[in-house]
Amino acid sequence: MTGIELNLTTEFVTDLKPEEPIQVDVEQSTESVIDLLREQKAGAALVNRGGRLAGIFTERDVLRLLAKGADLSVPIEQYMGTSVVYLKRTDVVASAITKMSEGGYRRLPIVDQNGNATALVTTADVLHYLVEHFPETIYNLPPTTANSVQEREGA
Amino acid sequence: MLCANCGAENIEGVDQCEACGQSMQRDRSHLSAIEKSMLKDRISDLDPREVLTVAPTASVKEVLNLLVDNRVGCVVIAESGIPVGIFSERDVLVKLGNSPAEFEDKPISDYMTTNPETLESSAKIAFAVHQMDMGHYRHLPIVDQTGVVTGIISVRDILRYLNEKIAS
Repeated sequence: MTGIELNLTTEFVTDLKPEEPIQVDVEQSTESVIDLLREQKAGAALVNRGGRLAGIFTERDVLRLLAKGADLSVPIEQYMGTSVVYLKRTDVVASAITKMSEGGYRRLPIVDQNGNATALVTTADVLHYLVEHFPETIYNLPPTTANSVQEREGA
Repeated sequence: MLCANCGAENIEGVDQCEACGQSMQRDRSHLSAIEKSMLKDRISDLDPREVLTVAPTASVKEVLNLLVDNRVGCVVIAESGIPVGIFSERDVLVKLGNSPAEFEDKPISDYMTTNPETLESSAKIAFAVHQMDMGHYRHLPIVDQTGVVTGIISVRDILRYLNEKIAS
């Protein structure tokens, strides 16, 4: 393998330069978590119980709750997703892509051996990694070549 | 001499492809299979999904229900098929408050992002990746040559494509 494929299978998920996640406690009110996401312009918060990752609450959950006019005063625990798929620091980029693609996840937390979330990898991180790793491919490109002339004109 | 970018026939020794303007001198032999695929494959190869469209006068409530019922992340706001705006779940979080009564009867045109970036289905996948990264877009509506929206691609479609390439 060469080029980007080599990177995808040898570089670690930490090379995607994921941002530090927003972390909240299971007992925080749903409204305060939504306000925090809005304020930080973040799409998800990781929800901890006793310092360990217990769930994730995303902007898709916000949509669902606002659409049905749900009570937002209750603890976030009631609305968070609990089956969190996560990554380890030693997972390679390709395995993050596979997990995201096959599970339909847009965000995957990186969790250490103690169950603490240290980072949140997003699909935007993966796209940016691609663009950074093969700039020649991406940057010097016309949007479309649909109107290409296949034969020279004239005699 | 064939252009590696668009496949057009060029006179031997030219610096730039006469059809697409790309350098004929660039040696792409060092590129990996995934890079070459992204340069060759087009948006149409991603098999863009059907797009949900609404009129600018649709209410916010209507749009939220549409997003939830169809389990999708965005709708395109169109007039006579031409995209005039886009509204995503990110907009739900950022632009709407926590009290539905304050926004649910308002028209979606009050909250949509106007003049969304679009792509034709003949665009290269590499170009779509670049555009999504630069603009921080998660979705790009696909339009035909007359500007009418025909589908949509998301960052998930790109990941699915990459995953298939990694697997093969």
